[in-house]
Amino acid sequence: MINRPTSPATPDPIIWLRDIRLTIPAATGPVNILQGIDLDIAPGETIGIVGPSGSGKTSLLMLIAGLERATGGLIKVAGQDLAPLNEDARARFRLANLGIVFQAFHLIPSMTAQENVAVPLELAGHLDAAARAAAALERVGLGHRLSHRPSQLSGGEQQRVALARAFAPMPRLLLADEPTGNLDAATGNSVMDLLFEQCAASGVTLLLITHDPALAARCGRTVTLRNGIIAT
Amino acid sequence: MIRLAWRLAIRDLHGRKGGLLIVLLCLGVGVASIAGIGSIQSALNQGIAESSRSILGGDLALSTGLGPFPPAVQEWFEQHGARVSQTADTRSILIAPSGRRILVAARAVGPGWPLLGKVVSTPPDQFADLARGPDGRPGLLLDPAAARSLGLQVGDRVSLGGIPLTYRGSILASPDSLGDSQLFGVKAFVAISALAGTPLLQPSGLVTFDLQVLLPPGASERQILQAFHQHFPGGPWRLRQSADAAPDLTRFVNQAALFMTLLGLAALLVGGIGVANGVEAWLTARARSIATLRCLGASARLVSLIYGFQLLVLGVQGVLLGLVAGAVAPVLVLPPLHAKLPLPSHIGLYPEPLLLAGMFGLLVGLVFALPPLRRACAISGGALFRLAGLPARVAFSWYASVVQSLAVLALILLAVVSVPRPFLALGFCAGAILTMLLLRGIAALLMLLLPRLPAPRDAALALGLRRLYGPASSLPLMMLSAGAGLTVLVAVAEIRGNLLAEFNGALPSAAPSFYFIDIQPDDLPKFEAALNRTGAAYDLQTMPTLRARILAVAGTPVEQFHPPGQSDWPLRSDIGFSFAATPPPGTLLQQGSWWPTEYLGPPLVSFDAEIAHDWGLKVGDILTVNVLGRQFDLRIANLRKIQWQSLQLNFLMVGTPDPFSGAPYTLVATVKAEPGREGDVLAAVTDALPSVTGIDVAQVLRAFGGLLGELGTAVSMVGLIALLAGSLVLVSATAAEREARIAEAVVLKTLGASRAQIRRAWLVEFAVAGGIAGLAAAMIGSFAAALTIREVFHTDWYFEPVTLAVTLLASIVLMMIFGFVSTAQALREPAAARLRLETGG
Repeated sequence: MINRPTSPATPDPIIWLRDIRLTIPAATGPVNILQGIDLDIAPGETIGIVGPSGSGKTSLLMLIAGLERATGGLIKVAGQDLAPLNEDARARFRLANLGIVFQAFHLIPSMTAQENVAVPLELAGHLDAAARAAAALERVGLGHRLSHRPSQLSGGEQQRVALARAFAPMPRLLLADEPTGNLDAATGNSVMDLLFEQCAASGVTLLLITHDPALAARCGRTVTLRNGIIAT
Repeated sequence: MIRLAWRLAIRDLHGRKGGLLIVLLCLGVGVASIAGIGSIQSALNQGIAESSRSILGGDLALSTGLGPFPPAVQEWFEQHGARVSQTADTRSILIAPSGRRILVAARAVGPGWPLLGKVVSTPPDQFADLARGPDGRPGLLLDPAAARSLGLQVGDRVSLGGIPLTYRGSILASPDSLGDSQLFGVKAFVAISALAGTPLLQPSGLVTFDLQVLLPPGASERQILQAFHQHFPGGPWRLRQSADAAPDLTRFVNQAALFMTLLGLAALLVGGIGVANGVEAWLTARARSIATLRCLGASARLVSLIYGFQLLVLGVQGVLLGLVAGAVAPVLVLPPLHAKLPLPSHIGLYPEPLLLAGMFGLLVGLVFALPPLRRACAISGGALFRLAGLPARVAFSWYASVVQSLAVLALILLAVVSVPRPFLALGFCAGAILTMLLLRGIAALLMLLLPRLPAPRDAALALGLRRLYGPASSLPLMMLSAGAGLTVLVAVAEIRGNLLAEFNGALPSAAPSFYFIDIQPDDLPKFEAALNRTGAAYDLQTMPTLRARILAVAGTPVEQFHPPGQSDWPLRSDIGFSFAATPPPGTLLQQGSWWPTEYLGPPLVSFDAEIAHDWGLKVGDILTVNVLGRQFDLRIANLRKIQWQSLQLNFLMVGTPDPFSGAPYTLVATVKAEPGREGDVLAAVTDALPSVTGIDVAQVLRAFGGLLGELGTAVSMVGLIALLAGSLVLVSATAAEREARIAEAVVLKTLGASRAQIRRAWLVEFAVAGGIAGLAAAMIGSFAAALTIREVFHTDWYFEPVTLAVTLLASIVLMMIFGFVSTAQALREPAAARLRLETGG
């Protein structure tokens, strides 16, 4: 008989993971990405997730974002058990609660900076999406680049647009996957300064995946993943 | 360098060939349509040529409307070892014992006819005794459907133009049936002896006398004809040899093929857009390879050779694919077509149309592949360190511009020289280029205007519209591909609809109800009395008529006179000729003046102004004409505008009463009948004057309209090929942007968009593009149709709102369906797998 862990009577953490497992089918046989992760993250915390390549960091982020389904275990984010939600419900959940920043920026190339930032606001039904997007870009120092498309922006500027897009809907939780991975050191530092400033200003919970120990050190807590489990 | 380029090209091609299937199809469909139409045309023309002796009824045929052939003509051929037969084609009303009557195109046959083949009847063997049957009366064989409609039984006594005959049976097959038309009467056979001396064979009526000649084996046709022309110089007959056995049939086949070939060319041009798109996607995928080659030291020229060779290899494959499909088209199309259009054909391989289609395909491929190839050659090594793709613009190059211009010119020149009507081809090319520029311009205008509209509240609508005006917008391509294909279909549908409306609506309402021919002048009072007794006939118009043949135009013999376009019709056979002291009702003089009522002097003629313009004639020029065997030099006194489409009584040539009023002429009359009383009017006239033939105009228009409808359907089928080509272009466009759509869907899902929202956004994109393409196509297609109807068919154009509405609706619906199906998989792509691929974590 398998003893399944039970949820706490009064969940406090914004992220609550118990015995999370993730196995992915592959041509050469199933690959165990995550092998029993337990993790609590309180609201307002800044958490750095570190670990070597292939340790499961991005997969963990995707599970928390509802972009991936866990093979086993329990996962609650912002009080919501993600397991019973279908794909569209997960999308609505992300819209209401999460902001995500990617290593590869993932801006929509055919839209301007303002339009890119406006997308989640429009999806949420805000009538003043354009104005709010402009204000968000102003806050990241790109008020003069509203009508520029991604191909007309440098890497650092693109990442700042991505930051503005993630913060504009005022999420409760921000997930950042190697946000400086495609940037040079100086640009990366300025982007991270911006990221931490915004987090501090808004009180949002930050989950930061990074290879950089210095970056991880800027977070309130560091979690090390190794071979799909939490090492420290 | 060429050998190196070829080696590198083939090496790269072996590695990856996928992604160009759509390009092959885009080229192949257009080439197949041109090759197929050309092969079918060649098969039909070859079939007609091989059946020419059957169609002629011998090796040679002489025709005249001026009277039976003098016995000397037949004797001359027989003295030279030939077998000869005579026939006469006439029209009259056949009356059954029940009183039912029908217009019949009777072929009166003489002894020995047919010289080739035989007539098969049911009951069998009824043809041999047509001249006199067991009951001592001459017989008649009739078209089986007509016999059924009249309720005839074998042995029934019938009357043809007042001549008593016995119905002997139905015609199952006859050697002259090829290209039979039922427009002006159903087919019947009678013996020529039964009609000899009767008004049915009077030269002034609608009678054609034919003499068929079968030469002895080994005889030289050229020598015999030379001797014949020496013996009978300037004879008032038309001579046809096997090469010219069925000129009207050949003309019909070639005209139909001409229009369909131009539509096939339209399909190929639309496919060219797909070629451009596919080649761009192909080269974009190779952009990093090209940048790497440039880093390693390859010149732009080497790059152009490598990828030029690749495109050549693939282009040739696409063209060959189309040629194979076109070559088998006769096998697939002609047998089922034979039931509706019993034309002779010879199914085989015809290299000429295939070569032409191949050249069109290669030129279109070249014209549309050159621009993206130029851009690919402009990729520098530095592109490896940026997002590699084809540069949006390249520096101007005289060499490239000259090559591109020459390719376009070669394409236009090929279109012009390959069709018998060069100006039509030029007009088509200009129209095609203009259409594409217009569609592209509309797309550019929309992309300028859309961002200036107030942002919609609905996120999906906003996302969908944004996709239309962004830099990667597929709106220009959707407009060109869907719009071009729909424009062709709309133009074809409107032309067909307008012409059918003209034949089924406008023409019948204005036209007379009947043409009555072969009215003897002395019978006119009897004719008028018969009409008056019905109380249902009105608006009677009569004119005298004679048969005439034009021998020379302004001094040039007709054998050496070749007027442009279709204006040579009065020279092909005998034509109707009339005379009048005063201008007939409705006459519109454009130049010159009418002669005095009591004019006595050298004969003058009033001529058709439009034909005169085409022939370069003016008032004062001379037309040499044979009228009932006598030659006249007629000075043109005036030029009239004749509105043939009104179907009112009129003649190409109207002469002075002197000297023609002394010739044995008949009268032709037009009459209108009260609706529903047409049968009474016809019965009254043909009962009173059995030799008078009544042609029911509405019936002829309906039959012609039916034929037009069938032809329109066939042309529309070819038009659909243009739409198919457009669809392939759309498929190629969506395939090319598949990766971009997946990436966008992943980002939108990550940001919180549901699949339904993303799907709605994309459907909005396709619906708006489809709506605008449909509206543009409806407007441009209507304009093209209006131009064609006014300038080519010389009738009025009517706006058809139903065509516009259907086009718009169909475009929106089809584009939405297409959008839904083509993007479904992009929507299903799981975001996690895509994101994991990019981060490796």
